[in-house]
Amino acid sequence: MHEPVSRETGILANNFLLTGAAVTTMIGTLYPLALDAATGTKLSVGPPFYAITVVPLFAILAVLMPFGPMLTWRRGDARAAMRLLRWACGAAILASIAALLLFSPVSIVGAIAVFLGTWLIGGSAAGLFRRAGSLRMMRFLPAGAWASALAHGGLGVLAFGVAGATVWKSENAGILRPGESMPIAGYELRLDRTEQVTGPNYVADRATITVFANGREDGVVHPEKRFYPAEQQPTTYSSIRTTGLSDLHVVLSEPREGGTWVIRAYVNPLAPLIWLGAVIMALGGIFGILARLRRTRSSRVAVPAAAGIAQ
Amino acid sequence: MKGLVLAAVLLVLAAPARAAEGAPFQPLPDPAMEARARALQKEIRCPVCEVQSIEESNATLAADLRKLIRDRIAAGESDEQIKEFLVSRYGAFVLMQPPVRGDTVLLWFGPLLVLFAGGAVVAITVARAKRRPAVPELESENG
Repeated sequence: MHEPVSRETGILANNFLLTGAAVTTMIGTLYPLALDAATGTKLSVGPPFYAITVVPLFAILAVLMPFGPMLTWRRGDARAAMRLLRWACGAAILASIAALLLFSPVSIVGAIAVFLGTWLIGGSAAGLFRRAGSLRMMRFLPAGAWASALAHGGLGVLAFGVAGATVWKSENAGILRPGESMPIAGYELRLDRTEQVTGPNYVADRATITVFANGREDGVVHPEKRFYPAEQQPTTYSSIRTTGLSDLHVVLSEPREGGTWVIRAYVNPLAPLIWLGAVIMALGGIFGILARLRRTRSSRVAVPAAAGIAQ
Repeated sequence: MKGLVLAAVLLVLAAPARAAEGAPFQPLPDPAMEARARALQKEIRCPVCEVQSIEESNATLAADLRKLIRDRIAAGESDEQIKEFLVSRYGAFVLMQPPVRGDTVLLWFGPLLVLFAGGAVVAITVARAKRRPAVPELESENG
């Protein structure tokens, strides 16, 4: 019915890798519970386990994804597909070299993530261009073409977000009294004052911290540390400040004598791309559903004609 | 008198929460050692919190463990020695990455087994599809 190199095999590989990642996640989640029930041993399975098992599956998936839409049904031409994708591949190589040279800390994992993100976005653009023939004709493309481009390109955007937020994040902790500042990743955080505020079921220390970006005043954040008498445990409400392409988290950590506070700050560059990538993928899914509805409607007309020809 | 009693009651209720800070934060003078401490903290799960590492958590015990790690790094212990000590005290639960030992074989190799099984299914499906005769396509190609 179909050759080993074909879109059918591409879909099989897609299902295999995604199902593998899902089953691995399920094993990691349920294993501690099962082991506890069986032997009473308590284990925890955290991010390092998933980094070793699930992330490589997604990396392999990302490498294969741009080929899928380029392969035809029944018999695909891998060489032709690679030829159509050569610009995307070149761009991906350049981007990963740029990542190695320009960003600190230097990170192989980060460069790989940048390669895959560029490869996915470039591959999606190549797919659209191949269907349309030219830039101008792209607006006449059917919903189905946009579905795969958005879904695959969206994962590329998400890969950039994950790379920035995990590989190139910054963190710092400082002990500040009112008026003092601490640096983090191009920002300067100045503790202005702390005050006690009360809520319906808690009392809190609330800090006013001014954020300076490259020397200019850029906003004010208010992290809190709340005490709920009912729970006898302090809870921190960190302030999150999203500016375009990065997240700044400021946490009021521990008080010291004389109104001094330990302040922790975290900067996650490109973190908003994680959300944007997911939204783009969802949009691709919606386009795919629309395309399917349209095809179901038109195939009801086409099937009787095809059946007539087959006989 | 009633006001005094009320104030005393509130102070008593709030005092343990305020006092429960744990060991104070004091970064190590050597930045390389401080970076080691931070990296190690991310690998240790806070025993009394649901999902956080001791790097993220603000619980008392987390603060105490952060100080313990810093003291031991300053005393010259290796990462492995510190982890061994924490495991001997709190159990393997305290490690974010589960150890590879007898009772975790299925955890670490289960995914590999699943992948082999799935890969076999894909290979068999593709081999059988190649041998089957062609069937007329009704659906048109889509993007």
